[in-house]
Amino acid sequence: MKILRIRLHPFGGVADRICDLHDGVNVIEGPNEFGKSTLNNALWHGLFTPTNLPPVGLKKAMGRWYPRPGGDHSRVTLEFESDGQKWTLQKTWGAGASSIIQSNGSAAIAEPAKVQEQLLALVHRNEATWRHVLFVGQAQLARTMQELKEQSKEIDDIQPLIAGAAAIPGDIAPDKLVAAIDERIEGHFSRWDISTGGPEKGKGIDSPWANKIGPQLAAYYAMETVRRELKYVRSYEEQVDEVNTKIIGLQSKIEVDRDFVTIGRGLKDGLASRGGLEEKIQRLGGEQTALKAVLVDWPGADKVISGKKAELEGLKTTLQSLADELKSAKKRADAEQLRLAHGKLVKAREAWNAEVTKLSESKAVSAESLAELKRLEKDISDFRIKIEAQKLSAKIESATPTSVMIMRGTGAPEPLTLTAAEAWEGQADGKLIVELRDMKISVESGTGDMNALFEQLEAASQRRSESLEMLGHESLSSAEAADINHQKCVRDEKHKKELYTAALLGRSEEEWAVEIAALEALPETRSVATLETEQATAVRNEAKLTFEIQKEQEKIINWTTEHTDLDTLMTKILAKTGELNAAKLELDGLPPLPEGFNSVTDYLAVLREKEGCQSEVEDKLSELKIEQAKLAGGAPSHTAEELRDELESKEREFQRKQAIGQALLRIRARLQEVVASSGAGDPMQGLASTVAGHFKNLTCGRYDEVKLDGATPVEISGPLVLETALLSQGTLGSLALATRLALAELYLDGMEGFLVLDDPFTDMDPARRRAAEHCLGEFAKQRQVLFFTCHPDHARELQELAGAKVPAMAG
Amino acid sequence: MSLRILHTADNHLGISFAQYPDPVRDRLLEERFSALERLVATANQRDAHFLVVAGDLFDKQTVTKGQIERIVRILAVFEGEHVLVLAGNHDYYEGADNKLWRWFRNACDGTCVLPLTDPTTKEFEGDDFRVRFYACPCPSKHSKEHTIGWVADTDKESDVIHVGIAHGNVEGLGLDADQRYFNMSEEDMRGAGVHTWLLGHIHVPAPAPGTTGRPLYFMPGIHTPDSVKCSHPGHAWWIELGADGSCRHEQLTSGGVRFVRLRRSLENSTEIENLRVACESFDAPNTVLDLQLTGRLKEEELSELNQLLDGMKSRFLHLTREQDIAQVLDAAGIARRFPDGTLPNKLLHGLLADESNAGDAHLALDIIETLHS
Repeated sequence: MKILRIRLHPFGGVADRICDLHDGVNVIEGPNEFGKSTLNNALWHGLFTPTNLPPVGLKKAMGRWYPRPGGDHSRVTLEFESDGQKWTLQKTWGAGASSIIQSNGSAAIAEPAKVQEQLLALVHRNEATWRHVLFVGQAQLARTMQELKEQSKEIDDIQPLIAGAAAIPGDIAPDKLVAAIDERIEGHFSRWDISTGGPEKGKGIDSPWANKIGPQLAAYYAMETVRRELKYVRSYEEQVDEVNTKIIGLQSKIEVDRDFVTIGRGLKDGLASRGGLEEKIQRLGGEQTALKAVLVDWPGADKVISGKKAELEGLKTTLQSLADELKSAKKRADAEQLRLAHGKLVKAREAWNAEVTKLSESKAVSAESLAELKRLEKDISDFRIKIEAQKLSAKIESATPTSVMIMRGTGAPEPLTLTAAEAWEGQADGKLIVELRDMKISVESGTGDMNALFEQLEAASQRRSESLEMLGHESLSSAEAADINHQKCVRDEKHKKELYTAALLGRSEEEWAVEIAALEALPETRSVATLETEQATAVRNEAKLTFEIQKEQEKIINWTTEHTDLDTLMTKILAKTGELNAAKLELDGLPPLPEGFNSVTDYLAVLREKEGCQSEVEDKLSELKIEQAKLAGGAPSHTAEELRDELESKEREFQRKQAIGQALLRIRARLQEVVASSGAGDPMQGLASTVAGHFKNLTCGRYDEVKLDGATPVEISGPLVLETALLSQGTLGSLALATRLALAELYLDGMEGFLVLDDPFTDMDPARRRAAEHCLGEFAKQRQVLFFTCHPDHARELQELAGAKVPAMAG
Repeated sequence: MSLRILHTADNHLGISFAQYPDPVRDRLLEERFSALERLVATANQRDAHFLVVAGDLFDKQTVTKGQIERIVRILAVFEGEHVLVLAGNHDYYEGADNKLWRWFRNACDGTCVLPLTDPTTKEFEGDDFRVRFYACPCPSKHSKEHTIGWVADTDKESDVIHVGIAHGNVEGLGLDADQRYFNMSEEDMRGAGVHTWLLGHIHVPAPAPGTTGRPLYFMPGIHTPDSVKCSHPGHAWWIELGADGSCRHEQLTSGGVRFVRLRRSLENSTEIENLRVACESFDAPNTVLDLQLTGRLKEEELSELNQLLDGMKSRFLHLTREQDIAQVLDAAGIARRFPDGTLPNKLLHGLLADESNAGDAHLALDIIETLHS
């Protein structure tokens, strides 16, 4: 970029001024207040200060450049060339704020942000680069020199100025930034254990760290202190609640019996006397009653004894008759058992007789007869099987109706009617005989002697019929059933006979008949149980009467011993009555017994118990009130509600501190990445040799070498070898200018641009200054330089030695 | 004609306001007395029969004797029948040795102020009403059990207006998760058989505005705000109860200061301007403003905000702020400060890439600038 024209209209104290600039060095010379600084600032703000700043920011940045008095805006118009194209920029700040930029023939841009965006593209380097590298104010140059001088022993600070990338104003050496962040982290987390997320060595608020407490721990302690206080206050309030609850409980308890005990204490003495008198009256009354009873009983005592004795005699008679009846009753009870046994005997005999009858009616079949019958039955069966095996088939036909008789096997003759239309067909076992009038046709099986078989069958059948007839049975099965029945009758008869023998109980039938006959003579009685109960009652009554008679007799003896006679007894009764009346009179004068009590003793017992309880409760109450007073004395100055609010605030503060701590850790990690990724490819690395070259020119070749120890400049070499710490003010100025020129070359390498210098030669001797002017002339062959000075001789020399031109000013 | 009651509660006189500087604290302490004076004056203007304080007239048991006497002097100006002062959970009454209530009772001697420290009834008769109050004081600061149970067992005559006075949480109205504050249910209150309840404890008024008829209970809320948690201006209830069961009520505003907590996320100048407008809408000399600001702002915006807040500080009764605003440091901001290729330039660009921790770059800038200064 090359600046062609700057117009201020208005800006600061300038109402309207145009400054047309040239290529190479432009020297703007004038005394103080001439407006050099105004022009410099107009150029800067024109390029870098947007017109749409918020009010506060605008006032801060541009307020001083509004015309005084009463100016409400400032305006700058710049014309410049960039990449071969001409541009016009106009900015107005304050009232009527606007930005507009336009290149030849293209559309204007008027939106402030877009104008700024376009400008940044045209100036190529960022605002900071321009501010720190290409706009070199006198103060900045002086500061560079000051740093070189004052901090020459601090390698970290000198090194970057000479050695490379960190030589850029505004840059910081990695070690220094790392150290600063480490220091901030260390400070922030001082006495804080990041790994445990708590104070180092677990030193909480009970044993806190006393010094070097970082913000995070301080916030933690503050938070925990309030939390502890809140906990204490809550606990305190709970204790107070608990004590109060107990006090209220005890007070209610006391209140329940308060009236009773208060009244009772007033009555106690009187009631104690009443108690004694009541007991006395009760005793005297009892004694009087007893004497009166004696007076009533004594005269009739003999009569009572006589009556009881008569009653006793009658009772003895009754007992005798009961004993007799009981004896007969027991005999009748025994006879009843005998009758029952005899009944059983009769039944057993009848059952046995029935079985004997059955046995006599059943017929026995001999084993031989049964065997014979079974053999015949088998033979018959065998013969029949053989005959049935010789089966014949026959067919009889007749041309005319004819009647015939047929016999098949051993079967009976069968009549048969034949017609011409219907023949007869049939079968026969072994033999078929057909009889037609006079004619008889016999047909036999030809495989054996069928006649012999038929005869054997006939003979066996005959023999079986005879045997059955003799036995009186129709069949073999009937004979077998009769035999089984007979065997059962034999067994039953034997069993019943045994039962009968057992029922005799070792006696004969005759003996049984005699005993049964004797029973009929016994008299009628009540049951044994009834009689025994009645007898027991009578015995008890007899004993009781005997005892009562004895007691009555003893009473008479005692009365006589104690009271001598009835007159004496009467005298005693009168005396006792007098004593009793006197006691009652005394009692009437005493306080009455409260309601709900039967005796003074009961009342006093309850009163004592309640007094004891009251005393115990009052003791406890006293203790609690002491505790309550102690608690009240130690009442916290804040309530739980107040502390809860404070704790919330402290918790938020602690969270903020935690967030800052985490941010610091992230920053350190990021810085480590950035530092690690910087290295050999650093574009600033060639800066050291460039600085050395400019330094040689600026010192007229006096110093041609900068010696580094590693990356650290330790000395400069020329006719003298000097440690950097010993450099003069002028040499330092040269070194600073060399650095500035080198940086400008580096940043403007391969592109258009300009350098602004504000009186950079002030501290140089004439020879060094001329060298610097030559040097600047060389620099300006490639780039535009705006050189501000208040020294006419500097301006003149620049025109002579560096080919500088004075810009045309109008207005 | 009907029974007229001015109902207040939770006045918390004697609260310490220890977190505030002396002049602010003095003003806030004084405001609590002033607000009470205003309530008494209102009750007198409206010819109230009773002024009922339903608990927590005092903030704590350790209120000074001087303060107690001053409070009684204020209440004693009431021209109606009685000022009925119930023991709440902050100013609980556990027995005759309670110093706070002993002093209060002594100070009340010969005045219309009547401390209600025992569960009891108080019956009064006017020209055209009979009213029986059922006092249910708190015997401790905390309790799982409410104190109104006995009211249900009391015989109630039909021609008397029955009014319960109690202090504690109402289920569903306030938060009492641990049930530590004499928790009452509506069923408990309804079961007591009174016409209505005058309650204290919850600092938010009930019933809701616009409620008509005779509410089951009234909760006036704190009479003048005491912290940023109180978002209303301080209230009391004006209640007129007819013998026929009718009820007319009106919410009164009694507070003279406001506590306001403004939470704002600021991202640009417009939002700063909105904040300014919001702040200017407050009655600044009578407002304790607590700003909780978050967000991201550019350097000049942050500067604008700080200037705004600095300017407001003297206008408000008190202004506090918790500010967690990250200064926006965008590429342009870095470019303005650090030439290309420099370590700060690289580091800040690297940090900007982590969008989830936008404040990191600003913190790093802060460290870098300390090295430059």
